[in-house]
Amino acid sequence: MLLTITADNLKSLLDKLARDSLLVAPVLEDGVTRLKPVKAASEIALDYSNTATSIKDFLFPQSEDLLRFVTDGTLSIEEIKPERAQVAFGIRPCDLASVALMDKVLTTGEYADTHYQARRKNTVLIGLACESPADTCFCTSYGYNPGHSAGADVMLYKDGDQYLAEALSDKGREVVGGPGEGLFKPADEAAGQAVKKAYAEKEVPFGKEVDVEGIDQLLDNFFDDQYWDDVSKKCLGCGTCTYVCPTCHCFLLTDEARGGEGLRFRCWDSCMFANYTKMAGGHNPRPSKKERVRQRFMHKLNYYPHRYHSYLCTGCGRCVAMCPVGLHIAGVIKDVKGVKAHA
Amino acid sequence: MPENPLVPSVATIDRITPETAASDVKTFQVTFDDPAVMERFNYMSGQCAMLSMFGVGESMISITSSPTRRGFLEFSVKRTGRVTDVLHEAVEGQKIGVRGPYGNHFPLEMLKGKNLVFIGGGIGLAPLRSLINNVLDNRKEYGRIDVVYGARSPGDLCFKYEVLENWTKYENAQVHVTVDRGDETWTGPVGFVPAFLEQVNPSPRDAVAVTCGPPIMIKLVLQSLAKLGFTDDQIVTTLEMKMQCGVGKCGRCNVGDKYVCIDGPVFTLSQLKQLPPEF
Amino acid sequence: MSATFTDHQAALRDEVKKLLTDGSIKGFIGYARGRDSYHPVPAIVTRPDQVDGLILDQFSIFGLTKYLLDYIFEDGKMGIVVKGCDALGLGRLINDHRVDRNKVHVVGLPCAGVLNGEKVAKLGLGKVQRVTDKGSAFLVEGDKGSKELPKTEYLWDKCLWCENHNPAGADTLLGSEVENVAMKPRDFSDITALEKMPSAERAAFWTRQFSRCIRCYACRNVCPACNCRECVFDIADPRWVGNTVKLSEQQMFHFTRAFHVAGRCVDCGECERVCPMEIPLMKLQRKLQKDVIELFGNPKPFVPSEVEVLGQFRVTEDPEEFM
Ligand code: SF4
Ligand code: SF4
Ligand code: SF4
Ligand code: SF4
Ligand code: SF4
Ligand code: FES
Repeated sequence: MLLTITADNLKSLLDKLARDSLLVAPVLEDGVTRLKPVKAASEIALDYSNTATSIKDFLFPQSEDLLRFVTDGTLSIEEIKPERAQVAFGIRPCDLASVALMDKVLTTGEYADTHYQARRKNTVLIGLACESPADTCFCTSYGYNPGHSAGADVMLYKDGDQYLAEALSDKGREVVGGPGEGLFKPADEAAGQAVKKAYAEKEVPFGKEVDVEGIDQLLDNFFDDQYWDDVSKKCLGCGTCTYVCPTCHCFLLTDEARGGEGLRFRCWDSCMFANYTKMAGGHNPRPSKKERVRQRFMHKLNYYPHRYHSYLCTGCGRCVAMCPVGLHIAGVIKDVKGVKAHA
Repeated sequence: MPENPLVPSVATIDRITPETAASDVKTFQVTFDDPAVMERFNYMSGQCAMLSMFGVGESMISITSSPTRRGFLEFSVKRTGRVTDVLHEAVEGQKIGVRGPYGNHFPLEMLKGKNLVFIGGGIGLAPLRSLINNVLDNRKEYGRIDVVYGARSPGDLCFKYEVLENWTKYENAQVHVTVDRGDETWTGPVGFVPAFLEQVNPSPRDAVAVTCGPPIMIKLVLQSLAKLGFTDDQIVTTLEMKMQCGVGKCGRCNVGDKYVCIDGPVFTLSQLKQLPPEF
Repeated sequence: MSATFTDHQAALRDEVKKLLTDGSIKGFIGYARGRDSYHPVPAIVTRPDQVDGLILDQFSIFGLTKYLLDYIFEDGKMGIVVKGCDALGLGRLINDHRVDRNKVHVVGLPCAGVLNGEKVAKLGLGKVQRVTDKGSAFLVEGDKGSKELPKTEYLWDKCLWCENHNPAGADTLLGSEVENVAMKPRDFSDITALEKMPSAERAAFWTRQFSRCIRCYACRNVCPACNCRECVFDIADPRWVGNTVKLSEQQMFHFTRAFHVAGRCVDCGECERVCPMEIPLMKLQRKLQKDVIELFGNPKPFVPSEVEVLGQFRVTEDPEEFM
């Protein structure tokens, strides 16, 4: 059922959510809009294309404690469970889609990442359709769009001075019926559908330039191509692309101990770092930028699709905007198609 | 049992056996403190486990004991880095963390009824030892067995009691041992494993070859096996990659679309040839 | 008025083609078009057929010298294009004995200032067709509009106080030298303002900045002064700076880096420019520059010399009596 909520009522709802649980929302600070815990709706920025960092920060944080240990003479291990429930507001469609891609890695198969699973279960995602896609956005290339709601518990679409709303899951209905009680009104179904359609069809200019179709198969026989040599030379080997990407999930485990007591953490790692695959004996199967750059793009556009039947990219455009040397996935897709076309 | 697959269980080192003269390889016999965890730790030859030295980190080590001999686990570890350095300083009775078992295993079904050629170099015999003891414990189910084993020097040979005495006692089982460089005590063959293998000249008929060892040795052994007439489907080997999670999540151990931690470490040569050469 | 970078593009391509073809260099480090006409990106070409991808335009800000470290263990020469400020970065790498001058072919690009692509992109002029130097302004003509952009507003800050417009010691110079005067004096007023802030307020300011850091190390990786063989932040044993994202670790990273490049920083501004989280790293660097100027009387700490102020110790001048 489609609902509407006025801007003022949305503020009251967010204030309530901030009071009752941990509310994560876009905040503009020193020129950067990113997701941060907020205490009141007044801190929230609403004028942004997308946040500099993504919801990944809160479902799969950059570092998190896994266990505590004591090693004085004996050994005891105490598992640490992720903390309390959270509500995330203002999540863009591409980032909602990224969560489904992360789910496939972290929750399916023989093993489940229980920390991630617990955070997923305890997180309510409030999506916000995009009014003004950035010139780096290309979600439509992957079949997503500025109104794509899949993955949201509650989806909001700005409609004039109010918002169209839809609760899409039990968690979402609990928000609308609980803290949201009395704040939402039923929407006119036809008008609501028109709003949704307008968002779904909203133009994403860069998306028209990036044609993803068939890139997975084109890469099947591209491992040895000279292209990787040429393109990787300019990479700085920083972790920017992987850290800002909502779907990159490489991590490492690390211990910190003092006087027989300590913690084991899980921290993000990056396949772009030189030591990432270096073994204890010194051998490194990906010794140069060429192998590392190739790994990143092959993983997203070929290996992951083989395993999980979708691309590991949502076209959020963060790497396009933030890679200091312009070595990003949209460019690689275009380049590979170009090389193949001339081959 | 911890709910999180990344959290190890507490285990005790019951016995430490130095394998090499320089003691740079030691075998650690380990049991979980919780009998229920021990009971549930069902593994197959070729699988690995993550050993934790708390405060330093973890290292993925192949299980060298055979699942046919229950009640303990054995890991043979070479000193190569931070974690293994600390493990080597451990004493009997010390507690460590263990999680696993991880990965696939040697294809026993494929080996049944076949003549088996095991080719190992140095500490590379550790995963093979699990398989060899497993096979020997079910001797009747397999054909002729040849173990070809080499190390840099006599002092670098591991599992000497089994290699030089125990395994040779089984029917239709032969052990061939070589060293790169001999010493005054050594009366056996001298030479590198691949050339030695060609001298031993095992027949590829109804046979499967299983090889583990340093990458350069494996590379040359594969060439020798081809010369001897073994097809890619008759050759089984293992891959080694840096690992963190062991459960297919952390992303670093992939070769192409395979994660060595869950899809490996055991591959037939024909499977390996499907993968990009990045290991 | 004076030539723009674009005017030298053809000459640059000819030069690179010649150098690659006659084998005097094995590769060239220059610029290529980025995602739009405001964001050129580095490009490293190794074959003559790639040379037509090289561009030069008035937005070519990226300091390319750090890439030279990728080639120090290889035989042969690399070619590189450097502006005045980039030549300081190159000087840094050479003085630190990390790059052998004999293994670099330097193509110098006299520079009257680089347009800030971030700012200009926001003006909605569309795809840039032409840039003309009008003296105190650049005329930028795009397919959606044109505008005269005063240099004092649209150049990068460092260009305004730059006193090194002409790259020193180039092997080939594109065009002729430009007038070498600063448009305005080096401005430390923002640093003075920070110094005057009550300490709690200042601490809050830096905490906010550092807590945004994602530890991608782009700042370090682009910096010509961050040129250690093995960086302390990469060493796993002992791990000096933890991987966890805690304020204390972030501070440890930033303070260590700041002090390590203190007196060696060439004021290129690249660290701040590449930072994806827009952390004002130059405020740290410029505070240290200011201190070096004031405390050590070195008026130009950003010009590399053989021995930097913090790299020397003269026992006779040491006021400390204890030792
Ligand atoms: S691709 Fe770009 S963002 Fe990624 S590591 Fe290389 S330079 Fe950094
Ligand atoms: S690869 Fe780039 S565009 Fe794709 S999801 Fe990651 S950051 Fe976004
Ligand atoms: S990529 Fe698409 S969904 Fe994501 S912010 Fe841009 S327009 Fe919105
Ligand atoms: S570039 Fe910015 S975000 Fe990255 S490590 Fe440096 S300061 Fe932190
Ligand atoms: S610290 Fe920043 S401004 Fe100074 S040399 Fe390094 S990158 Fe350039
Ligand atoms: S070790 Fe983490 S994915 Fe294999």
